[in-house]
Amino acid sequence: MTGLKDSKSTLTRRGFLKASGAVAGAAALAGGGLAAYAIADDTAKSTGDEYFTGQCRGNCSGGCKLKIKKRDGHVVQVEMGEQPIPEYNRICTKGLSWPQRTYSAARVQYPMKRVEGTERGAGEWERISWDDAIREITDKWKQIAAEGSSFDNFFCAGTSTSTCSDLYAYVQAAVGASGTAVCYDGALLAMNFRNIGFGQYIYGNDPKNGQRARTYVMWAANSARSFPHEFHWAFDAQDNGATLIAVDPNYGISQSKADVYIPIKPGTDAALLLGLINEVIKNDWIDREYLLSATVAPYLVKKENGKFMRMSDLGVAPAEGPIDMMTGMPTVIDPILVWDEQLGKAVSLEESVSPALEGSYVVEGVETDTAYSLLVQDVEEWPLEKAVEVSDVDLGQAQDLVRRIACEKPVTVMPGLGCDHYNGGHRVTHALNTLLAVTGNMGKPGAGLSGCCNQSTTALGSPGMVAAAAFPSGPVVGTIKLTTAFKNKRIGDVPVNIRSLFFYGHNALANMAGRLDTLEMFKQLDLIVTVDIDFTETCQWSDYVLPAAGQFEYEAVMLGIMTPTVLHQDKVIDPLFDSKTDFEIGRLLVEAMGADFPWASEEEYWRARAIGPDSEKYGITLDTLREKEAIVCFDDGEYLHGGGGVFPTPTGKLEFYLENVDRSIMWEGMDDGEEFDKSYEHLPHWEPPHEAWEENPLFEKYPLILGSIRNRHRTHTAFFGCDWLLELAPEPTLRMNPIDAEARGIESGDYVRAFNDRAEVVLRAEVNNGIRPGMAIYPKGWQEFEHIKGCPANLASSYTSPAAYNNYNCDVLCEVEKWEG
Amino acid sequence: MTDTTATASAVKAPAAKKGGAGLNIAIIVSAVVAIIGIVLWVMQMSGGMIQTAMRNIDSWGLYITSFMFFVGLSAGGLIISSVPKAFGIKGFGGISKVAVMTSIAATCAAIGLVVVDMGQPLRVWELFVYSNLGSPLMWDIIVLMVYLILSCVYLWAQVQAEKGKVGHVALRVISVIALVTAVMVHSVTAWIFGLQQSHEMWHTALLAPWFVSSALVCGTGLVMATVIALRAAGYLKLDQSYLVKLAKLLAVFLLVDLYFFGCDLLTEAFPAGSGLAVVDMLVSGPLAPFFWGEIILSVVAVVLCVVPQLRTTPLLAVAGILAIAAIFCKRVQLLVGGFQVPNIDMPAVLTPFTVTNWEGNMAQAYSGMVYWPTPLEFGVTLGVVALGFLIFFLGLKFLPLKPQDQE
Amino acid sequence: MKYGMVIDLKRCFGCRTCEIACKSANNVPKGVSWNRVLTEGSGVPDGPSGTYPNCKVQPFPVSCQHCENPACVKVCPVGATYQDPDTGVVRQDYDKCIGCRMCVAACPYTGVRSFNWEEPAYALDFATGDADVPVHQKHVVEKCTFCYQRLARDEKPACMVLCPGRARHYGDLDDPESEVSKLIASRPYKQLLPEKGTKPSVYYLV
Repeated sequence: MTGLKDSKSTLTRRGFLKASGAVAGAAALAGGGLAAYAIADDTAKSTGDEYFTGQCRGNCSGGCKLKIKKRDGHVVQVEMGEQPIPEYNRICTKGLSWPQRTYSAARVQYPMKRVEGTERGAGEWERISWDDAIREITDKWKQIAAEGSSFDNFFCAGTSTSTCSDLYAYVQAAVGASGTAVCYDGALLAMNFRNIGFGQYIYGNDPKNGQRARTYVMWAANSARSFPHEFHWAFDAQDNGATLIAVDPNYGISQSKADVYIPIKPGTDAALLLGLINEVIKNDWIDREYLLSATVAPYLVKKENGKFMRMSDLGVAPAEGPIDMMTGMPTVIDPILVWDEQLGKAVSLEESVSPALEGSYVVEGVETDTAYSLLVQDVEEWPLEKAVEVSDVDLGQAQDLVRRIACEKPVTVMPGLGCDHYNGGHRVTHALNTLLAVTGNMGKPGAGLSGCCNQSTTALGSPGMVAAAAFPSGPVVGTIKLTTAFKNKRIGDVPVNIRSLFFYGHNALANMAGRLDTLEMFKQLDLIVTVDIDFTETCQWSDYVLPAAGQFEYEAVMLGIMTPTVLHQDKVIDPLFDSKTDFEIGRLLVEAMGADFPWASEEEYWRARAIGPDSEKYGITLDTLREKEAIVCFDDGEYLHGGGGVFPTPTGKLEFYLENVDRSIMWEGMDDGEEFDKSYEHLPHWEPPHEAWEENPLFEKYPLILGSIRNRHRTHTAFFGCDWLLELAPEPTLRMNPIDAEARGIESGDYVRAFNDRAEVVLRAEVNNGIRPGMAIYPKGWQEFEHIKGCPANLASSYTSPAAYNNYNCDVLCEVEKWEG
Repeated sequence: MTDTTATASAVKAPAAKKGGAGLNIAIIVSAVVAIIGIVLWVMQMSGGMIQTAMRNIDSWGLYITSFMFFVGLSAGGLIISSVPKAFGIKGFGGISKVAVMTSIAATCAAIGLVVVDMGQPLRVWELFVYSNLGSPLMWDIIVLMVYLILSCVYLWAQVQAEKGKVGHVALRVISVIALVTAVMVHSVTAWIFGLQQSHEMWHTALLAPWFVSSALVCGTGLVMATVIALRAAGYLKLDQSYLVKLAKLLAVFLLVDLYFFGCDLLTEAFPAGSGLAVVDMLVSGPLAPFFWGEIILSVVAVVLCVVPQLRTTPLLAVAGILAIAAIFCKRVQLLVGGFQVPNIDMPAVLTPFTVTNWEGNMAQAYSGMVYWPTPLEFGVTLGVVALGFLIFFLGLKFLPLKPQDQE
Repeated sequence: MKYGMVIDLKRCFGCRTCEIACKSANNVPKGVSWNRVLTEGSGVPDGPSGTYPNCKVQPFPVSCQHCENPACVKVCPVGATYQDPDTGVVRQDYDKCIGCRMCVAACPYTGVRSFNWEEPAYALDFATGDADVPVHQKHVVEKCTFCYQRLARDEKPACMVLCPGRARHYGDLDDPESEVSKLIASRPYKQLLPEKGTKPSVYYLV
């Protein structure tokens, strides 16, 4: 085994840095250098290296195919793996750093147990055997179940084990645990799910489609930093004559590549978008044909309850359709009514000849408006002049922007998560999709959102989820609601008793907003178990830490993520240290709980996983994947979300008007019963951020908005133990505009503290000309123990808008001053 | 104008005995310091040169500064000695052999300073096997070797000539060769810097003549200070007039050096272009103490040397030392100054290897002097200097270096 | 044949993939970077120049320029730095280097050469990257080798395998049909310190 120091007991504040910075001995290469004056002879060519294929599961939406080099039993290099379609070739500093991550001193090396009688987070650990760990954990789960219900045990997943999430879905169900909804990026994702449904790239077109855009807009997206694997599509679009536009409060590398940069006040994007929609309607730039054929625009909405009027309202009984894969139940066919201008009456859209786009109609005594009319009314209060005032955008720039979106089509939008992190962020997504709807910019070559990770359920199978369906499911609590549900012992009307948490693929403490509240809850829980590859901040606060095998340590199949492929992961090396694969861990837990584990071997599971509804169409099996490394599926770069005007939504249309505004359990977890005006959610609106707004009285004391940007060399906190990456980004920093810095006597390199009533954090200041005055921006991904003092997550509130449960990490005010040490 | 003369009429035998004891102490002290220096050097090589303050973008430091300096010091001795003999004119009262000894000692120190600066001193043999004859550094190695050998030969020749075993013509030939070599040594050392287009401050044709003039300054200063010290210690007798002659010569050399200084500064500053960065750095930037130091020290030394009333022995010793210090300031300006103005100042993340002050950003790294030696470097340098002194003192003790008529 | 690089500054977005690819493939020691991505016009890495909101960020990758008229080769007293006659690549023989750092002083391109001020240290106790990379030595100078070991195998230099922005190109500058020659002929470019006369082989498209 490699000579790495076991430094877990020293992984306190900054301790890990010393550990990972430890010199593990000088490199020793057999043989020497090349001959001085000659090209290396042939012997250098046969280097004795073995090559393997795989995927980087960096949790960054890159999913890059990897070429993994093994020598003398070690993974010595990871490079880009050639994609079946070379245009999708991708890699980044994180993917390249897998050798260091694989053997990192940060890895959990054996099952760890918090020493009895010591505090959680105190860092006192003892090694235990797998048998003991599994037994003790499951005994505790059983005890908790006996005292109440098995649903008092909660499984809390993050996103970094997307490959194994299907497996864990079965584990959770088989052990009878409750689950959580991630509530990360939920404002954007959940709203997109409502407006346009989920397709092969979640909410968008194959990113390659961006090449065909005439106008390419990065909205609150810092893609050059966060999506290095995708940014070249924007360049290709520019090479093809497109105008690249960036809308963002802050100026950075992504904005510097844009032809047009539009600065905007943070938290006001929805206002601007509503103004743009208003302008489109005012100038009659709407795409009538698209609105009528691809969106809910002509659908009649009942005034009394905001729902669509359907044939059943006319007395026609609904019919049964094909089985819905998601629910396992037959779909209900109950056509929605439109007003046909020619026929002069309300008919189903399918029967109509010339549906009315606008108007109010009384149908059998029921007052209705078309959805489009409601939209027009909705945006009437947002003339562009008002929108730019609220959003602090230059009127000329706004006019130019809307003209391009409406008239210089097709338009591709790369939506970023900047807006998602403020309360009200879901309305930005709603407004953006609406703008694209009225201008006919979805589902066409070069038009639509540039999509995200693959979410296809057709190319691969979901054996875990299918088997999980046999078990009853318990409550689902959104992560942002965990502390509330814990305190109140209920979520809405549903009683919950959160007694234990099981984290997998989730560095919860470092990512959830309102960290201090989460820690308060942690202190009172009966049991906290974390499965992870690296010893994270969440591990620090757990009772048991189970080492998961690294991604090169077992065979797997997975979706290609933002590429139209399915990939194979070779098993390159055996699980390192005393780690076990997620499959093994899952099996041990399930069997210890007395339930069945359906797969006799890992291979059996992955073989089943490789078979999805479309597998036959694309020739996907475990064997073909082993042979070919990657198989093209989906539409080979041509996938258009909402192509042909058909969307994977309940109505099959682009739903800028949302009929169903109930809580989405899948995204937000169960409803907590807050009173709020749900009818406000049918159409896009704007609300100011909850805290980060100048009208907030707190603003006087804390006049800076504390926001974050992506760390180039981490995905959230992942890759934190890689030396190469630490050299590039050695410590947590805080970027400030020269005006704000100077006013506080702060220079680049000074240590400063950012603070509010909740907490403080010490960071190294960097005076940065691109930061919007009034904001203080920190590259995120640093864990608490990597800071000199505190951490930014402590400054964030666990408040969530009732309209959309989400972690609103940037909705924070603070003040910054020099830190005297 | 009458010179203030001070006749030193020490009695020979007691002076020799007093000098003997003092000399032994001097030998022991310098040997001890030299050994400490060697120990520190071994520490440097085993623990890594990271223990110095030199880094990637300021890759030379005290050692090479001192190397330049000691090469300069070694000039004076030989030139003072060889010019009169080469031109067959009256010299400086027979201090020629002592002068050559200082030259030998300084050259040994210079070579020692190169060795302690090398990353792989055990590979020094490669210089003679894989020599790249196009490299100014190689030329310097060659010329220094030749110079050292020549100095020793010249010394031996003088001693033999005094015994009548070497003819005057032969001696004159050797002196001419020695003189030319001395000039070459300093020119070649200058060319290590002066031929490099990489640093604007270095890349000037003037550098070689300037090094020669600087060498003359500090070499003369060294000889002056040395003979004053030796006369005071009773080792030799020297008529004051010779001292005055040396002082006047020193003044001339200082003025020439200042003239070159001024020419260079004006040339850098006049176009108000890229050279301004260099000028600003010198006049008002991090190197200002050394810039103004050199000017002030030089001017004071000149005054001490030309104003007859000030030409007292103590003050002349001071003048010699000031001249030496002024030239040391010059070496610092050149070496550190070359690195002080980066050609590429675009920032990247700094590591401990990039630059001496790496814990801030680039601007902070350059805000003061980009380089300042660590105590280890001072220690090693002092050790090598002590080695030079040791060689000198050993020469004094065991070789017939006194003026011919005083042996 | 004269290998050179063309780097498209319009496309480079400073992701540092090329910097880490180099470190990984050549097992470059801790604290050393042969291929640094600098930032033009700013005092801080990745910092924008200008005044908000009128700014610009320009990443600027800089490694050994593999000059046609290299200053370093001239001055190395033992020929440890030398220009490969077949490819024009400026190479470094660690075994010969005496650590005098004359090349570092002679090279106008601040920082492309790196001296190992202490025993090379690594995060892992085995070498990463290519098997035929010369072992790094204490107290000698090292720098970008144009991944000579890969050129010898007809493979791409590590930094050229994939630049996410597709901003990096390499090839034979002597061949007018090569990608790099065509790029230089068709797009405006600039070079670093051309006035120094070293004739760098790296061209930056602007």
